[in-house]
Amino acid sequence: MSSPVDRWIRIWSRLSRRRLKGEVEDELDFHMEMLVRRFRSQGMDPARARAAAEDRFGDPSRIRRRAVRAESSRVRQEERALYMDNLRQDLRFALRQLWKRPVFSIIALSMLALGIGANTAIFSVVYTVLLKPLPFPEPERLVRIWESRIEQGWERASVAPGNFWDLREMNRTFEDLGAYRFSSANLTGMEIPERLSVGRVSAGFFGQVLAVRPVLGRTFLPGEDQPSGESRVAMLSHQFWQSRFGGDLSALDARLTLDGESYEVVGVLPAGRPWLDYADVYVPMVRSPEDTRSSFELAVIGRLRPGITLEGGRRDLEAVARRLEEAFPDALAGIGITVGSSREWAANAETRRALWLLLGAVGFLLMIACVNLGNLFLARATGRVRETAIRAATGASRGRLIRQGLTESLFVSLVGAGMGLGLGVWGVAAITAMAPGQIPGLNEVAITGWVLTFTLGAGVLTGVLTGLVPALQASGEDAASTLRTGGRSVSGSRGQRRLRGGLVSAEVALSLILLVGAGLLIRSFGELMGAERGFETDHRLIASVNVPDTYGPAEATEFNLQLVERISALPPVVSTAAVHIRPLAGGSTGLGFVRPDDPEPEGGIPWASWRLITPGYFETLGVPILRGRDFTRDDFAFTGDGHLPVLISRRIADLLWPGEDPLGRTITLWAGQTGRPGEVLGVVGDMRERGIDQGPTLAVYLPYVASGWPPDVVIHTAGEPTAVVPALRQILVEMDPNIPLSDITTLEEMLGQSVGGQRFLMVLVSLFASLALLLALAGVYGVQSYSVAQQTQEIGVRVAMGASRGQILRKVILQAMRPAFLGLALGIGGAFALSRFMAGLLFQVEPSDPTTYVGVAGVLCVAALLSAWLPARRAAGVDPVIAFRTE
Amino acid sequence: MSHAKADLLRGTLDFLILKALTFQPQHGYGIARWLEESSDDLLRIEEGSLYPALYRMERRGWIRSEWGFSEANRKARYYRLTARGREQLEAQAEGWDRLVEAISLVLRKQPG
Repeated sequence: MSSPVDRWIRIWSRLSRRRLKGEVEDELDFHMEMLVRRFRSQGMDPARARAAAEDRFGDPSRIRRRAVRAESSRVRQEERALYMDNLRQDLRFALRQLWKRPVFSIIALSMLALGIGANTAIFSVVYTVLLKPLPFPEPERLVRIWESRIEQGWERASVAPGNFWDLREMNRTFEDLGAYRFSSANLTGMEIPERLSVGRVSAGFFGQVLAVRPVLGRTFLPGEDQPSGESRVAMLSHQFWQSRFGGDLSALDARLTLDGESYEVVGVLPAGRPWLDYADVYVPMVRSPEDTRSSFELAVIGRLRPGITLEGGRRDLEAVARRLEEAFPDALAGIGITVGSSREWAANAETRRALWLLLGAVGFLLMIACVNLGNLFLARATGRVRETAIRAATGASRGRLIRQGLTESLFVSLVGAGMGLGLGVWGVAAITAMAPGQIPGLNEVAITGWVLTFTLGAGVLTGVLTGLVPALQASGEDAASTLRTGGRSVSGSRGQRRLRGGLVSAEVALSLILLVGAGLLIRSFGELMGAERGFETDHRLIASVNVPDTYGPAEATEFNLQLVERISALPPVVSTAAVHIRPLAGGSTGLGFVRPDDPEPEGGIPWASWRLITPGYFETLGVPILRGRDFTRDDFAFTGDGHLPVLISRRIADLLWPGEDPLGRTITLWAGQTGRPGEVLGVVGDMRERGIDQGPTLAVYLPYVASGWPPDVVIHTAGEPTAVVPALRQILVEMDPNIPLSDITTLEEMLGQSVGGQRFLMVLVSLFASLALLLALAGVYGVQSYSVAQQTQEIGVRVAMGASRGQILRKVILQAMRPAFLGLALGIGGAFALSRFMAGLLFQVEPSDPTTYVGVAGVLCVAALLSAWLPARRAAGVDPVIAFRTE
Repeated sequence: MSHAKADLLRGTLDFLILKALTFQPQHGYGIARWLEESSDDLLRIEEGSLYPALYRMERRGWIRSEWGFSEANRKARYYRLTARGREQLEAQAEGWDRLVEAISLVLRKQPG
């Protein structure tokens, strides 16, 4: 008795209790009256007859109570039966209607399937990436912590190791703080050497902060990140455990040789993200008295004590920061703390915005599908006006007619939702296949209970929205007048015409908004790809050569130079060079720089990225050397304290020596830090090497002389770049068989990946916008031809009265275009308001970009005109005789 | 009144009502009169208790009701036996016969 239907019926019967009571009373009164009359006829006087009747009948109030109880349970059951009966009837009716008009049904169902399918697919992505709870206990207590220097304009920097240990010890609001640093190491002692990603974490990172239980073994112990503790222990990521040990228990007995040191495997982490899947192997990050306070290296997370708010935690850490600032006034001037909720962990702001944008886009698509469907139902309801009027006249109540209409539309939309679910499953697969790596967790996307709920909800909402308007409209018609006119009207009632006009406006507006969104993204992507990168990407291979730290500086330098020389001797190689951080990798090393005669410039010390390179780097990347010369081997022999030979990018030259010749000048490098003089040998072109959606970088290039920075080699080949990989491996085996080669790719591929997110978003939004345009056009065309068809008689009259073809054409088109223009205006307004949210996703295109708006409005205008012109032309050619015969 | 007795009486009342309706559709007052006459005034029930029984039986689908007009042109609710009600009556009649037979057997038993 707890189904909603039952509950609804109970409420209804309570309302009808009065009617029911009345009927029971009538019946009992009748009985009493008959008894009294009988006793009277036996000669009793009225009073005695009444008493005798009451005696015979029993206590009326008690009986009435019992009777009403019995009767209402009977009525309830009857009403339920009636309801089910009606429902069955309505469903059968709906099915018959669908079956009778296969074209209508196929169009309606495929539109719905498309709309709901797209929504299901995108929602499952949004759910998995943004909404699914993190796989850690009480994730609301987890936060991310950054250092800030508000005065210098940055709010979210990684935390310096020295500061981390102090924050961890001195705070009073966190159960524990954990730090994570990404690094990599050479795994040797196996068949072939391999480069592993290694996460270095404070001991409490997994066990106390994330509070994960290891699948196997244990997490790190408190002392294992202290210099006194045993820190040669490692935990394996789930993925690494599976791929390397086949998920076997024996992993716990294994030892791993990382960069020549032996580590004992103590545990295996569960699968999941984030953090747990960041590296192959995790080892303790060991505290050291030399830990720096000015190099921002650690990702820090914290678990708040129960009952502490995010703001409370922030204030506490901020207080600690104040004390640190007092203790280290030079290094930590202006230090602050930023705390962010763990909800942001799953995806960065840009990804989040992109996904919400996609959800919005499919929402619009579904709305357009709804409008179309509503219009189809409306047209059909109008066609059935006579039938409806007859049913109303023969006693079907208004409520019953509305319910029947709703049953039909709900039935259609639920079938459509079922089909959409199938389409959504396929869509999820397609999206996962085409998505770039940047969206975390996309490979886990699946149709879950929440997604099913969402789809069902979308189906029900669609059904109600599309069914309610026509149902109200149809049942609201005055039955008598409809029957009198024979269900025919000259051009539909005024209300109906206005409703159809509204539908046209809505479709035009919705599709315009979507098209503007897609247009902006396409323009932005064009700008991105067309932007001056400053370097060539075709036929360039790139690979990491993981020279270990055991190589001393001289040894490493010699190794790099020799490696490059031997590679350039290979026949297909045009030129080659080594660099310590490859272009487009996103990572960077930076330094402050000043002119020696202006050590404290206004506006602070500018910051540049620095790169260690071997001679030929610019030639290999196709970067022009604007002035001066490239490094030669001789530049690698400079003495320790002298001027470093440097090449600088043009923007640095323009900044320090505007309009002057920078060659031979002295530049102070690591200004405000260690401070070393450099001598400018040359000026090279600017590169957008941090990613082509970032501005050109200020860059300082130095000879590749340090150790501890394993090189990436960039190889410009004549033919297919990957063809040189075997030869490259061979050279490496000959030089040092213990050095693994890793991250082999081409610059083209890196470029593709670096714009993958933008491309993904652009392609999907464009796809949805095109579908929306298609649906909207079909819908608008449908409405226009319908209203023209309704005017056939009127047009016939006009033709008979001598109106010219041109006049009629003009009149029909003008009438049809009015709602379209209204839609255009509304759409432009809506797009203007909504596109602001896209600002962060656009590259060098304003959200209010006039080209896009004008272009999109033009396209829609032409499309709407066309969809009005086709039926209008047909109408203008109408033969009046036929027009009069049309019913 | 104990439960068993109440159930027996209620079952008996249902049985009698069903029987009353086998001849023709009848309103509650008519059923009461028929019971009175056909039992030679021996079975006298509290007539009001007919109604809860009637509603209950209608809910079970043994009888159906509709509003009509009585002999005196008064609005009255008429009850009619359904096919299921007829089956019910036969089943109860059989059970009743067996019960009566069993009780008679017991009563006729001679000592010894």
